[in-house]
Amino acid sequence: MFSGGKDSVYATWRGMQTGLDIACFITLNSSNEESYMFHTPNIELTRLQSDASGIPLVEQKTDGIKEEELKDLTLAIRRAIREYSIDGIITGAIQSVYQASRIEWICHNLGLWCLSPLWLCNQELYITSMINEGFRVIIAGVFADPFDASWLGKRMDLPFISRLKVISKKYSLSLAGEGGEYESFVCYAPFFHKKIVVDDAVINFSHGSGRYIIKSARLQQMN
Amino acid sequence: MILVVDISDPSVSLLFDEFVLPVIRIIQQIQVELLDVHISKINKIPDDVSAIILCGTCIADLWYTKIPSHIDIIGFKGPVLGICAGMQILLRDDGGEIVPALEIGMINIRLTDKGKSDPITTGKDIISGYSLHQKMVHIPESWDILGVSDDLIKIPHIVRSNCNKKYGVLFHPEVRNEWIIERFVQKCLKNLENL
Repeated sequence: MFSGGKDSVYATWRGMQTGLDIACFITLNSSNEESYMFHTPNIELTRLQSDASGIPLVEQKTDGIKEEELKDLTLAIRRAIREYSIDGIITGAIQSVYQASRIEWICHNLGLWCLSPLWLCNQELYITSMINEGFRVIIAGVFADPFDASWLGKRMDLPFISRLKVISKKYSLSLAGEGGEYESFVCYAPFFHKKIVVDDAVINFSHGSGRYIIKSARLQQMN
Repeated sequence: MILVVDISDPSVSLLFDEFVLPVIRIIQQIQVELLDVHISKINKIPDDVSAIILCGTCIADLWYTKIPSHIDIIGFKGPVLGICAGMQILLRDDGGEIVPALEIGMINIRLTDKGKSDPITTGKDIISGYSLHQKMVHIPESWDILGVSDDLIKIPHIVRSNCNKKYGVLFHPEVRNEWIIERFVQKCLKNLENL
């Protein structure tokens, strides 16, 4: 399952590192920005990530209505079974029992394995490893204090993580944004053949939350 | 030293991240020395191992049901904690039969009188635990039930051997119930005679 954010992309990478064959990405394009299940900022750009990595994309639209969206997820997974003969799903779930148990039910009913390699991970170790392994990740949405508009579009690098650690301690926030404090977008991962360059974006921030909306982006060869 | 045993399908090594690493992290947080090993690699339990934890695996993985009885783990005299699939093989090797029983998600586990007085679970009445299994194990007579699911069908979720220091937990204590693993490890190391 692929949202284009850091958790699903890194989970995919972990699967590859252990020898799993990634047949396709499955993306749910939710029209509900408040979805409990699916990440929404810049979700349409998973198409560009699919092109960058050469991994096909199975995309499914959903209204994002609680519990109803699970039927749309099931449709998408069924399509992946039909078109790519998948044996299992990799998710980027870290702590959310709400998300994990629902995906587990769907996978069990469809006879699939469900793997969540970031489950209960050490979040500092995870995001530091991600940066050190060459991922290029930007902040695509902020939804909690003390995040403000200045965080949007910023690249997650080691100085950024140091800053994040300070505020996560002070405000009891999840370092990986697992509590929905922030969302991310991956511009480059070690399994991408090209990187994503953002040409145009706008920042929408009001009432304590905001999004970095990518209006135009393209693929560029890595140097 | 605690021996943390991976019993997941070795052809899907990614399972280690999800089912063994969280247990390792809990033990490391309380600064206790550990050694992790896949069950297929155990030839002999090292002499300095004071307790064993058999980890769980994912719901689709039934590789563990084909693991032959492990003579070293059966014969181990110290405390053993089996989590989910680990509980199933622990009790199977003591005469229990592994049978179908599907549970996914958070469930309530009500402690029995024995559970309320056991050193690991004392102080609790109901535990909200994360279940992820399609099998359970019939409880042999030589085991006491410390906690059962608070549902129409009462599935034993926490058990303890009444002749040695072996525990089984069918739900996943590494999810929201880290204290169970912490108490097991701490009591193993500090208070062996009273466990």
